[in-house]
Amino acid sequence: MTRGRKLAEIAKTIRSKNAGVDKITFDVIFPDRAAYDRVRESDVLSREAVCRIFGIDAAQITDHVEFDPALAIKFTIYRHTPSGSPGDADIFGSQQYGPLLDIDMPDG
Amino acid sequence: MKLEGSDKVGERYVGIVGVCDPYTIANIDLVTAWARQQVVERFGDSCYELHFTVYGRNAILGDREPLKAAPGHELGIVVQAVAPTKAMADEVCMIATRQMFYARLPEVKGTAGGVAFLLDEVMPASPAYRWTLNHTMRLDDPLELFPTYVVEAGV
Repeated sequence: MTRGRKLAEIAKTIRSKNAGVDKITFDVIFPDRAAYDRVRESDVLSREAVCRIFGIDAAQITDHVEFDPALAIKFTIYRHTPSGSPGDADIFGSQQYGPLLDIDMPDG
Repeated sequence: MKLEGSDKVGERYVGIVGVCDPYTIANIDLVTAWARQQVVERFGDSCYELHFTVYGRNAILGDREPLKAAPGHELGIVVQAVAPTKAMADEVCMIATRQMFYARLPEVKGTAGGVAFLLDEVMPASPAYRWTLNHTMRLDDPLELFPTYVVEAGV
């Protein structure tokens, strides 16, 4: 289970959803401690990595948590515009996780 | 107490076009800019909103899309116009949608229409709203804003 090369092969759940009206939160949940530790220690989902993946500044990340009891990494970023404003093409923030799927894992 | 609210931005119309010409796909921002300019010439650049959502490139993530420089072999563009009246939203949307058809880029081989119409019209959509209030308010008593009265109904 921990031998995958892409984050999508290692994580059990990779999702995004609204967090209030002006933020989107991401959850990456792992099936076991080994997978969770491998991703955590590789820094592929660190604050710096999240900035690089989405092309955003660190100030746009409001929270970034490694939550051991749930084997989950969770982070939250500001929206461009409040949910549902004209021009917002993801009212529920539910399809923002796409770029996380193909994250390359080191020594996969 | 949580206070949330939204404000009406305006009436809304929507148009949909497709593109498969590779040069047009690579330069789609020039096409939408040209269409927007036609709206500016008719209505100026205030009192309305005009959004082009480019499916097949970065509709969903916008500037955060890592693959925005690698669009698909065909694009779908949703045009949204928001204006104070339905008539104006209809006209803004119609000009922006139709003018994408007439936009001519010098390198495009096709000369009989720059985009493909799904419908030769634009469609009314729900009015547009925007969140304007997202606060919490401290109360000494959780019921102070919800006074309760007991009266005798007399029946």
